[in-house]
Amino acid sequence: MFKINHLNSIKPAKSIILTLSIILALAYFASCEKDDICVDGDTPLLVIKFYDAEDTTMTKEVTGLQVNGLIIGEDTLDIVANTALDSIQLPLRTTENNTSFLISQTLSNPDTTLTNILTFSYEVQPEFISRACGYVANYNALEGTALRGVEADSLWIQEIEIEIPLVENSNETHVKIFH
Amino acid sequence: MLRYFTSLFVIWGASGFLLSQSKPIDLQPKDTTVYNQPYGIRVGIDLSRPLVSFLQDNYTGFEIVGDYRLGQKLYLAAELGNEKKNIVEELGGEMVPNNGQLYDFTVSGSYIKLGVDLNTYDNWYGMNNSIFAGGRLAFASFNQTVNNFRYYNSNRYWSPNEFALGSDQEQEFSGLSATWLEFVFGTKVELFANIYLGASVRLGFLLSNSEPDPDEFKNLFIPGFNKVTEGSNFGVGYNFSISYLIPLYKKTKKSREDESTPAEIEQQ
Repeated sequence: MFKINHLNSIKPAKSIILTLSIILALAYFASCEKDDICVDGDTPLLVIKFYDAEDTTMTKEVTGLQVNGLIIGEDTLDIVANTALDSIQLPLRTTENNTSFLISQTLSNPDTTLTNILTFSYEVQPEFISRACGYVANYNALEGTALRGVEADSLWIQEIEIEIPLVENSNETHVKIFH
Repeated sequence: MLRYFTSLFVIWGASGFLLSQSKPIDLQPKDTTVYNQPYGIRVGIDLSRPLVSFLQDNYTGFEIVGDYRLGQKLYLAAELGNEKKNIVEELGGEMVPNNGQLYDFTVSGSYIKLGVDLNTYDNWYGMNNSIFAGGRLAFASFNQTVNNFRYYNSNRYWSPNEFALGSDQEQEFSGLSATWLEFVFGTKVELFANIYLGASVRLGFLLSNSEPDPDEFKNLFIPGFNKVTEGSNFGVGYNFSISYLIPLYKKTKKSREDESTPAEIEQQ
């Protein structure tokens, strides 16, 4: 006489509790986020390549190349790590629109170290990359000058040529220095 | 639909008439109690948003929920809300300096969601609970303000302890909007007469999203939609609501026998 439907046979209270717990579980898992790792971009480094002043198509190594960050009148920072003698990647300050470095070459015969002050001026442009990376800085309207470090030192840098005035990545050579 | 039901009744009536002559005397007559189900407008508020507003400094929000019963299973449903959230993003991963803060932004705006709910739950006598699946078309209008940002830089030479500050001037992106479709799965349980406690989870699919200049900022959070994931149009949300049913009229619940085919009736 009584038609028993399988849907009705589940206790209503039970199935509602089941549904509620599924919802709670889903809400809990939805709140877990994967760690956002920044892989989409970075603030670029300034890439400098050293060329021969006589034959301007040839790269020329700087013997005993050493570069230190310099805050003029205040501080000289640690050595900027470099892997080659004919090129270097320099970090620029994003809080200022110029950055100076002490750049020196050490000649073996006679044993002398020539230190020059290399200054780059630029405009800092923020660029939004992604949620994980946020903003990076690009440098525009790049200009470079070289000065004697001490009066006694001669200027070993003969010419600075800005190849790419907009620094957006660290893959290209932005500046050529002839010596 | 209506025609289908009408013809069903005609067949049912006709078969009943044909069978009536051979029908034995029913010694155990069926329970003829009729339960009238309430129909009306249900309005309420989301409990989770005020609770989160109270517990967290960086969030304020509320949501009004409502539905109108159209039929045995079908409800018109809507949500209306406003949210303001401040988010501070920090660098994830291993190479985190002492202070990995990247940027700080605030999203504020309102949203409306309109759609239907379909109750899939077959209540026992006198019960008015529901387990429903539904769909919404949602629209949000909002602003984003970048309060400050720092330049992400994997080179730590000039600022070893934290990322160098880019700007701490507020930068506002206003007049932003987004449209999305939402799949809803939830339940509403009658606690006391006409008072319902509800819960739902929502999966949103972003249809359109008017963003600021991508070099300046992106829509990372949309009120009502929640976090916008890069490279995906999906978003997730939930609510826990308490609502009150304003009963307007009552209507008899169709019994299952009415819905079965004449052939099934004959077999009994």
